[in-house]
Amino acid sequence: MVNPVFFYLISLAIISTAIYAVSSSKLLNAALALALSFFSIGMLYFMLGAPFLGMLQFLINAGAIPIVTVFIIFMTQSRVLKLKSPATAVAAIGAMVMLAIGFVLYISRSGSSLNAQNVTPVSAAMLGEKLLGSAETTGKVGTLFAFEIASILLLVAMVGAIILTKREGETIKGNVGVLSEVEKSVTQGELETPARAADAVARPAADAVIPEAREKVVA
Amino acid sequence: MESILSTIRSFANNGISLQQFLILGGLLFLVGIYGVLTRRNLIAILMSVEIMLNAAMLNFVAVSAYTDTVNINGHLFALFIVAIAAAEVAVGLAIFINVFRSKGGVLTDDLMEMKQ
Amino acid sequence: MVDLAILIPVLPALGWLIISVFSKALGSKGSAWLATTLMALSAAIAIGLFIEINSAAPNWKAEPLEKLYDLEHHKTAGAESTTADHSAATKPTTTAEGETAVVEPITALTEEADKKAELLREALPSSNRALSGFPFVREWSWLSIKGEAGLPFGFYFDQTAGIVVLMVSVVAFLIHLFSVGYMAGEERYPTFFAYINLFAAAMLAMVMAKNLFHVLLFWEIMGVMSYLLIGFFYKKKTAQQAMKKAFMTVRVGDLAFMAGLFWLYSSFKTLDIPTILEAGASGELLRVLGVTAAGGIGLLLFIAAMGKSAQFPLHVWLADAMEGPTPVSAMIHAATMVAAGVYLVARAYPILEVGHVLPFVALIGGFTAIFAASMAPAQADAKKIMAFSTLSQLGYMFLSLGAFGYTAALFHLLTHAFFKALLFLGSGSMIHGSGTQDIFEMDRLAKYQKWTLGTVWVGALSLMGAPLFAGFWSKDEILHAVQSAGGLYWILWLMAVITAILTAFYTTRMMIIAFYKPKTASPWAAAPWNNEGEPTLNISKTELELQKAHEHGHHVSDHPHESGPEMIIPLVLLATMAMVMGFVGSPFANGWFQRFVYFGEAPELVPLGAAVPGFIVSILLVAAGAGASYMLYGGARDHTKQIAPIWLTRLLQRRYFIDDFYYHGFVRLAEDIQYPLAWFDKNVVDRIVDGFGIVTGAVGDTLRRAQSGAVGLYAWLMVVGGAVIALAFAFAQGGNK
Repeated sequence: MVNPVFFYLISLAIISTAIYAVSSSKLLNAALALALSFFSIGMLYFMLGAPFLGMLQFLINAGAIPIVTVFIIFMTQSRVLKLKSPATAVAAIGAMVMLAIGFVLYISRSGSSLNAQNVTPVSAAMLGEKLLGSAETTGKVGTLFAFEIASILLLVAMVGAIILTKREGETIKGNVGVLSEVEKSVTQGELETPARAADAVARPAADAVIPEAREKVVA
Repeated sequence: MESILSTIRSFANNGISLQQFLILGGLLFLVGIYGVLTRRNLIAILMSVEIMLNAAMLNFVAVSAYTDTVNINGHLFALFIVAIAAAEVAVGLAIFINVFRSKGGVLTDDLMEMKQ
Repeated sequence: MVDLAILIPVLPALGWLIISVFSKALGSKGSAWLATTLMALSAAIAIGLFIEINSAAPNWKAEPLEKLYDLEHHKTAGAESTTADHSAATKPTTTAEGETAVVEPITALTEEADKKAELLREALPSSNRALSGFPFVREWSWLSIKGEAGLPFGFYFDQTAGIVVLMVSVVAFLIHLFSVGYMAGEERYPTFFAYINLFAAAMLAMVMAKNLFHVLLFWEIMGVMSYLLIGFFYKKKTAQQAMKKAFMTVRVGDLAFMAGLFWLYSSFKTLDIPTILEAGASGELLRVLGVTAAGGIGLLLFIAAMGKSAQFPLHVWLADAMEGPTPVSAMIHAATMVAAGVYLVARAYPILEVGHVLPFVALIGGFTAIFAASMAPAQADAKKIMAFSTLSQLGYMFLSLGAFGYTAALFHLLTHAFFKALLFLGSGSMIHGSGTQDIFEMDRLAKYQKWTLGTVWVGALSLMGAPLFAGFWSKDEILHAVQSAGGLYWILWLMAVITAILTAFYTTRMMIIAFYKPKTASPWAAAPWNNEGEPTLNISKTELELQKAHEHGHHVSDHPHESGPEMIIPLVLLATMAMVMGFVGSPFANGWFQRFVYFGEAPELVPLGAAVPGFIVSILLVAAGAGASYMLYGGARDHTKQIAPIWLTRLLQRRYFIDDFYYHGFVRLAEDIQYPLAWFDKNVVDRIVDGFGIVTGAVGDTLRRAQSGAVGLYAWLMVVGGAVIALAFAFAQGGNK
């Protein structure tokens, strides 16, 4: 099923773009090469009978991640890099050769050299069944728990990213911001007594109510 | 040596065996390591790490496809790797922005604070 | 009630816990009344339990007694013949009918014995149907050891345990009540109640324990509480030294206790009290242990008792223990804890009997009795006089135990607890009213403290053994027991008689000087020997004042006065008991106590007529002692006059120099040894330990540099490490092929 010609072509693309991504001094180009490399890997997934994973690869690894990376490159103003000395690169290549020898030896001696066979495509439905199916339907303990943990991880990462990028003292617009402005006014001594400040904060955080409270407090 | 030769020979064969995929994944992984070792920019290092993650993911999918078509555990691992990679990028990049704000740059040397 | 019995120790222990944690929230009064209430509940349960034991005990009706003995004999004989493993022989449970006390022996009973048991049950009145459920046992598995009896945790109530639980809980309750008033205004008032609550819990649990190991366990808790309570006024130097002295001296005995238990367990494979009692009765103890082992174990256990009950030569701590607050002296160092030694000997009685240790017990007891009594007349401190009298009375108990007078000893234990608690609390009231502990400095207290006077007289008469008071009956029993032991025991009998005279003498002296004589300076306060030898033995004048300030804070007043009702009520109650309690063992009650508490076979009842000569002797002894005392101190005579030769006074006040001997022989020796040891520790051990520290520090300082914080370096090291592992793994795989 896996056509050798396509495989070698795609492999070549993957490796060459990856090498460019890790060695180019222009970071923007590197990010684009990374996207290409990941896109090529996604094509291999289609060849391996994993269309759903391939789509995910296109969307996330080849799409979202390079785009975010590009954003950060702009925001941190690091478009052009100074490269390390060639000696470092030579040493790194040495380490890689050592690793490669170990790797090849391991693979070649592990015995089984499975040849190409007809691969049944794994549909999203199968994956979903496998992921979310309960023990009754799959006959085994499902991965639902791991799935839930992964979703919580993503949620935490999202919240964490927002909190981390928020500037000190910077407020995020919305109800929360209004409340924190009241807090700020408390710290700045605009309010006469803490009790009244607490009274003001304790009011419902609706936009319509808070300004009134503030007016009252200031008055 | 024998076994290495037979591996090379199998490259020339008609079909693509699992070993070819594994070697591709291994090479990709090495490229990622090279990046991690030689780059000084945190963003570039993160990109290299992404390459390593993808290499691992490719191996998982390939092994899953070649060995067992019913029990698709490799695919599941790949899925989780995608989720973790996404989370990693989100948090990592947020951290880089903070580092940039406080240090004025995102080089590893900027972060070296544990002096003697 | 037996099922509630676990609450008897648990309630005071709970009080300790609650007061320790919530003393701030409870407040001073709250803590005190909580402790007292819990103790009252505990005493109430103990009374209920005692009534139950009383109705279930086999000797309530005199008639089926012999039949019962027959049954006992058959039971043990049957058990022996069929069950080789004696440790499995006792697994007592109680069925719904309350008929099966011992599961396995019952199954092993011969048919004949079964029939006999049936007949016996038929013959007994209905109230005694629970007969075979007696002695009551509750047991839970704890620290079970495979193939051995292990150490199951349980309670065991026979008559002895019942009577001691009753005595301890009631006395403890009355002393709690007394302390509410006496300790008022103390800085660590709640702490005091927490301590005595835990002490009472430990004592009760010890008495109830089924296993000798648990006796040791609670025995040690009591030791710690005693230590803390002696040092309750820990800011006083004398209190600090007294607490150390008490703890260390008793520890000698505790060591012997542990050694004895190890020996007993290794050779007899069980520490279960009922098993030991049964094995003693059936002769199995003798067969398994032999005379030598039994003698060794018995001696070790008796040494433990000597430590706890302050018998010669481990008696030195008790007089100094009077540094604690007076209720503590009453409760721990007079009525209950010091009786633990007597109780232990009573529990291990079969072992001591088999090992022929009893004559030694009698000798030590008799000697301590006369030895301690001889020191009391030369004391000026009311509490010290009481302390020596306690030593002497405990000696009586051991003398009686040693002279095969098990019943008499426990009878005296019971009566002594009440009248000695009364005397101590009474002296507490005297101290409270007059602001001094010195009987010479007390100013005609009889005029001011009517209630105290009356109650203390009751206690004093009881202690002397005046007719019809509690001490009279029990002391008479002891004299009778020693007399009837025969052989060379007549020497001990003579010692006991002299002790009785001395007791009457010093008690009367104390009463006369404290209550009827005007205030004078203490004749020996400035005696030169107060400052010789070990510096802590006699409280010097200034320390006495310090103690006054400590113990009575704002109560110190120039005018003697009567104490408050919280203190008077317990005194009156105790006085009542000190009068009544003796009758339970008197011929008037048909020797109820003798038929209730006994070892082996119930002692023969002495008819009233035959007992009269003994009574007359007792009365004469008391009259001699009290009369001599009155001749010397009574009336208008000058009570401060030095009567005895000065060297004798010195000898007695220095307590025969035994404390000095220990001080120079052990304490100073230890001090002399410690200097070379300290040098060794400082120059050798410390250097080695320092060396470890230096090496570790150097290694750490070197390794620290690797933690440079350079992320790139870390990545490098990680990759190189990974490469090495990968290569090693690959070659290892190749090797396998």
